[in-house]
Amino acid sequence: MKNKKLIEINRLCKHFVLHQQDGLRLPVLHGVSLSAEAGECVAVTGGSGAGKSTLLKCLYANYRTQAGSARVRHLDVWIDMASAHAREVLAVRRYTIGYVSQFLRVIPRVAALDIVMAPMLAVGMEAQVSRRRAQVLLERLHIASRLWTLPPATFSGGEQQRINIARGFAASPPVMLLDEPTAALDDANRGAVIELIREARRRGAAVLGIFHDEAVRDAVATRHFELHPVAAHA
Amino acid sequence: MHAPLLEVQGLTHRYGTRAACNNISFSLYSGEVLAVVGESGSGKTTLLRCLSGQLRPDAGCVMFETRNAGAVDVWGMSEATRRMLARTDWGFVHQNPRDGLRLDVSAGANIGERLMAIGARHYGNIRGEARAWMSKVELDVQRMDESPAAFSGGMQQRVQIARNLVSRPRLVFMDEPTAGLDVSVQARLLDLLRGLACDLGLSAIIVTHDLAVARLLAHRTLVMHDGCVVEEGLTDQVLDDPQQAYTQLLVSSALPA
Repeated sequence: MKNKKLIEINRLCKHFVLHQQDGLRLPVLHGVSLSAEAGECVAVTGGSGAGKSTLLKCLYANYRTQAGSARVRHLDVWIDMASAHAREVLAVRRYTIGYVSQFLRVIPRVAALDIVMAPMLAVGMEAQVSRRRAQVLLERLHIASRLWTLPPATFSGGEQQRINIARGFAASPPVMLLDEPTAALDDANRGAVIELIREARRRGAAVLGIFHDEAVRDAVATRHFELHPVAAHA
Repeated sequence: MHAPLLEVQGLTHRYGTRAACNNISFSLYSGEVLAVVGESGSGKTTLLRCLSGQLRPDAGCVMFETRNAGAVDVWGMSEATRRMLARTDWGFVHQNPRDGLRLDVSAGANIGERLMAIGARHYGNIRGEARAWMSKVELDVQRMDESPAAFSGGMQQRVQIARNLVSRPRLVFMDEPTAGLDVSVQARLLDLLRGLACDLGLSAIIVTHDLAVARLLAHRTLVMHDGCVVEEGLTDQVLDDPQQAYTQLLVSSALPA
């Protein structure tokens, strides 16, 4: 599995045009190139506003891009998320990319356990196996079992974040995008997340992550990739 | 790769000289939920009526992939064929449940009627299916012999949804299915629809002015403004990174959802 490239971003450009602000143009990414192989964890660094989250969102096709490519190896075919059709993007998200955003977007009335099981069921894993793995993940992330059957709308920020993490790791996707996965967590849970990331690397996942916590970054990252804010005239 | 379930090309409908739908083209694939969003008067409902065989467009075509005969032009067939297609293959959920229900017969009969329309005759089976669907849409099965006239708006909407889904349509059109309901009832109904869409692999086109409805239910979203599609894409893309001036205005005007 080593040396198998799973992510390849090439000269990616992203700017926002704010039509309500007289068409104000905000450049965020300018010619960003980055690749990652199986087993790597690349820590994306840079100051606030450097475009770290934007880079992850472009690779997930949550944001659109203006130039360049953001390719992901999906079932051994390279798919450019910047230009792929909606249905292709959804397939890549289902089978290949696990994305842990900063906040859980809660779905009303769906229990925590079902939220974590959903990505496994979506790729055809058996319900029993999915349930067991979801339980193991929630246990490892110290979510009390009395909460498993409740919808996370009323959970604390840290609990919601851990549900989000469990969901992202559940189906063991080959590409993982982590946007500050440990921001709201205490030491014990930070440790659990570090262990999950290391396991993902060992099974051959390529991880692209934003980690503000230096200790976490040092514990999981194989290298750093620094983004610099783009000058306004770029 | 399969052919699209529905393919719309250059669809235009005018009221007088004003185009309510102007040269609209898109495809819908099986298992996809598509939201059509935009403000009142943007042409959303006119579009839905043109797609579902209720309103003949002035130009353009609507191709539907049938079970046996491949893609057929919805507006190139006889009225009778179109009505048959609507009964066997489509569902239509109206904003006001009273437009989609018969209030003079029981809730159970409202649901069972659709099965009879496509040829079911065994009374026990029909009643059994109606009962099963009452519980799928979370209605008290004890009340299946009551008229939906006595039901609340939220309950009536559930009966309408059951009535439409019981015959396993291949495509469901929904026009603001949650708009007339209280917020708490809305949330439960949306969640019910989300569950049904996942479980049944529903193909649906949902017209809504509510971006939260699109976010919760739809894979893809079309944004309409003045009769034109101004933007389309994955729902989260359209809502999180809107490109067009109108979409940006629409997204920034909505309360966070």
